[in-house]
Amino acid sequence: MRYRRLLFLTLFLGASGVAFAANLDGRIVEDHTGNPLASVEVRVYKTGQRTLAAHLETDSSGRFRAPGLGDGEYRIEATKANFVGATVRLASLAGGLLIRLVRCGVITGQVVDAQGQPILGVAVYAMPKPLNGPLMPFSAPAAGSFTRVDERGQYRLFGLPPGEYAVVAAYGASTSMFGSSGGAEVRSGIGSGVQVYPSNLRPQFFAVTGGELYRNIDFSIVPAGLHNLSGKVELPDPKTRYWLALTTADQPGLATAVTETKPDGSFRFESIPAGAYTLTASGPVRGYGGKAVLGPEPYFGRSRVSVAADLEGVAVSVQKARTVSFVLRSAPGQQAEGACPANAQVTLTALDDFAARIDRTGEVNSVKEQAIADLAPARYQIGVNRLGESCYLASDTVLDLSAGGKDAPVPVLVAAAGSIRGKLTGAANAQEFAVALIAADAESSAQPVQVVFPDAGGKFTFGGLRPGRYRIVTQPAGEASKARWVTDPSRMIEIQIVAGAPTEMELPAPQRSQQ
Amino acid sequence: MKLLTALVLCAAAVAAQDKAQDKNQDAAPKLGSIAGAVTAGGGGPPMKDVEIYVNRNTPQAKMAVTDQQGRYVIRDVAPGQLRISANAPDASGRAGFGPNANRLVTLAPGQELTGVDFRLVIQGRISGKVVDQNNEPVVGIAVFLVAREYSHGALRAVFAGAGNTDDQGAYRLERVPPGRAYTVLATRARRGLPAISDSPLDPELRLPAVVPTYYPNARSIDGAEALVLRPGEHREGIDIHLTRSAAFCLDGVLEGTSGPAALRFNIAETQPASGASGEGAFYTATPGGTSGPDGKVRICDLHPGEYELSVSEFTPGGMGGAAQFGATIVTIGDRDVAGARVGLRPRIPVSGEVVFDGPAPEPPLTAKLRLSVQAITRTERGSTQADIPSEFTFEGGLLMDAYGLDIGGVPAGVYIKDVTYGDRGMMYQPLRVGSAMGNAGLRVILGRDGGTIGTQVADKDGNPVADCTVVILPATSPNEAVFAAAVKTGKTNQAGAWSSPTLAPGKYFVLATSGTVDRSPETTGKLWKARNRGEEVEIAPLGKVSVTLSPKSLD
Repeated sequence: MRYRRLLFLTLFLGASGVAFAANLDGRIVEDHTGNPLASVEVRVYKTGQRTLAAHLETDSSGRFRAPGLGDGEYRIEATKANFVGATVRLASLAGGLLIRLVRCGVITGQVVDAQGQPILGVAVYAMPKPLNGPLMPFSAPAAGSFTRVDERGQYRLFGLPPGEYAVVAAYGASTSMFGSSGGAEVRSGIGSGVQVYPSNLRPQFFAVTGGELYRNIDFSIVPAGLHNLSGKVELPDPKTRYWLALTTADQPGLATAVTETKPDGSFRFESIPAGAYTLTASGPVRGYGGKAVLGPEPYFGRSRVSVAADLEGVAVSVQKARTVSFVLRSAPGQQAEGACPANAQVTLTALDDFAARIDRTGEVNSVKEQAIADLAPARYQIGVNRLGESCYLASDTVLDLSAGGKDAPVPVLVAAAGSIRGKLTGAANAQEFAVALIAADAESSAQPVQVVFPDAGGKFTFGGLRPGRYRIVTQPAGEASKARWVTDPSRMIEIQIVAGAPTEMELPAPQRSQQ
Repeated sequence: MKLLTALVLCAAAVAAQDKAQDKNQDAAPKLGSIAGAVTAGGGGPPMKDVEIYVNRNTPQAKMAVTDQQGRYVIRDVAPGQLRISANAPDASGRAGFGPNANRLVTLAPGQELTGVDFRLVIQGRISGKVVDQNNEPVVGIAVFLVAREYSHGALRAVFAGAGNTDDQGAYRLERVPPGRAYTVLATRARRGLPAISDSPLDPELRLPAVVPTYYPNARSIDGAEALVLRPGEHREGIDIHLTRSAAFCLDGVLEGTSGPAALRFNIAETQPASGASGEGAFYTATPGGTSGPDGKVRICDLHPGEYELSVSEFTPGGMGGAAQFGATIVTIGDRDVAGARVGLRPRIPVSGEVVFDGPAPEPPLTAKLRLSVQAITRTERGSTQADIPSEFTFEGGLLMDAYGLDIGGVPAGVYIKDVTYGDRGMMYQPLRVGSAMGNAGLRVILGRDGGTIGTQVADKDGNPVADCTVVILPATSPNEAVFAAAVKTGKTNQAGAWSSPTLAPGKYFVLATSGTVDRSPETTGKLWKARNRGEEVEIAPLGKVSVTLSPKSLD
């Protein structure tokens, strides 16, 4: 669940002035209000001990206490539903610990037709604001970032961590509807489609910094012109089923409509909006679970089709799935002996919605090419697992198979984690401040919010950073401070972290009026 | 003359053609019609937009939709025995997703059959919130509908529905049958368990365990507040204050056939349990995991109470149930429990015989008995067939568990007099596989001296009442559980008639009701008290009794 993502907090105990003790006690508050948080689960790990040192819960005042734990290094994990979790590492036990948890955002609304009547069966998504390119749903949607409307057409998206989000509704024969029931009811006059709030051309992005509740984000589905599209898939094997999906260039990750072939390969899309589409075909389908589940050795088809009126006789040909080889490589400029392992797992997450399960994983190593089969003619986001804590994918790489396969092995470039070496300037006492670093890409970062305290000279360090985009801000620290760890993005400085080499920077301390 | 001849020939030709047409029409069955009305059960209003089907999903299917007054007519229906089904829209208006029912009727050629009515049970819903000791909403907790009913000789608490709390701690239980008492239980959702828990060694430093809590805040079903919904009712505000307790751990070893081994384990409170509930069954996944090769487990976060710790092993690549299984009961008191051991047991051969009490009939019966067993709290099942009389075996054996035994295909004129396992009577009791001494197996004893009760149900004006429930109650019973199991029910046909299967000679009470009959303790109690309002009959050996009834309320 999203609230399991961790807030990494390094406390320099001497610098912060807290007393050493054999007891652990502290308080947990809500970041944007400072209100105490009850019923926060607190797990206390002691370095070198397999069992937990303590497993607690905050009381109604947000306080927790574990007496008599003994000296040692500890890691404290605080989690609560609907909040981004926090982790504190202590060189030794501390009393008077303050942990702030960031509350996730909520977006609610309703989906209605032109007469204000609820439209049922609509799937609603929160999609993170992309760095570039089109909107995409979360590759692994957590509970709350995707939902269906209820019988009143109302929806509620919840558990959204800090970031910016668009809200998108998919109605009619959507992938969600088809994938969960093997079919869909297309309402006459409404048809199938994807609508971004408030418009597909100008999406609105809702910022979440902590605890925002956006209400009445309502959709009114009023399609302009609806048409039918029919044709036939040239089946490699008779009486096999194929699922077809129509996607647009500005919403490739969410199909406008999905349909299934009849035993003779014929298909029909009903009531789809006019437009230019990519038409994909996947099969043979042997079941469904969210999306079509394909049999072994699948076939895929991909073509362009333009719909301005009813269209018949569309011929779709399919070809065998592709196989691509991968090899693990260190990014240019990286040291040969580094923090990156020789073996890892590569993940290929489809960026195009084929209404079928086409994501793939495979083992990859730095010695020999490894092949991953059954790939669709789609664009895939390459990801890597099992790199350890100090190695990351060097850059965002998209494998584009939409126009053809890849003969040469695809290098998966990894590099040591990035870091920041910074100095706080303009502060009379640098130790009165905390520096917060927030990952701009909430989905890809395992540690969306990190906080460190500068030393007496104002120097601070963030290590083990995934290369990418971040926002950084300075806030007054300490239990008495009401300052939030996560604030308005416009008040934060955006920086790009590169792999391997540290990023040097000077950060101005906020003036009194800004606190 | 020629003209006359031509005219005569024409007339003859026409007459011949008419005769041929009449013959064809005589060969084609005369189509009829079926009409009726649909109302909400329990005396509710007419229901519109209900889809009525004749022989749905067949090439001869026909359909109509009820009007504003809940009435329908289906015309041009071929005669014969027909299945009529009614499918109402659900609360959001989706056609065919709501309550439904079906009946068998017989349509004569050309008949305009009326009064094929339906009373649809409109299910209700229950909603509320789950909060903890700090009044904080509890997110992601499982909420169950729990029923109590008599089954397999005992009063059991069984799951009958489920939901989860959302991000605001709110839950909703849908499709709650009206008119029956249910309790609502909040408990931790199914979760995967590590073989060795990392819970602190010191119980004082552990997170308090969640105690399964019945609405509003009871730790046992006996203290729970029962809810009985009206048809279509939405009962809101059913808020549960989750109870917590000290958390304890259980240390144990799982043993395979050759000693400690890596095995799949599950642990769950003994009540309520998965299994048969109402007209169906409801199974839930229980917390569990897989032990390491040393078989050791440390299961923590346990509240005081009784648990079943089970272990199972599946055939690699097999699609069926467990190949081997074992279970033990563990009680958690006020401290950790160590030294628990549970081992796999192989499947046990179960065989038996079907015999007559007295001489077998001549000529021999050609019917076969169908014997099927279903584990009471698990999905394990088995079945076999047997000639009457003959021996039988459950192919592949059965896991050592408690099962319900169902015997079907009992021919007319024969009744089940007794069932024994290991020479111990188990009529209305669970079949505890593995409890038979020596080689003693299952014995089904059939009687041939039984009789039947024929009933005719009519209203106060003497009109036959179709689709009415007839209940046959034993005159005596050792306890409520056996009484509930011995009750026989049936539904009258369109002529208001129903005939019982062959019953043992003896005294019975017979009554008819339009209410729902189930095995809940509430309904069982009503039936027990209602005996004296029914018709008392006595079936003599090979006797046949006829009785006329009018529908009565059980209240």
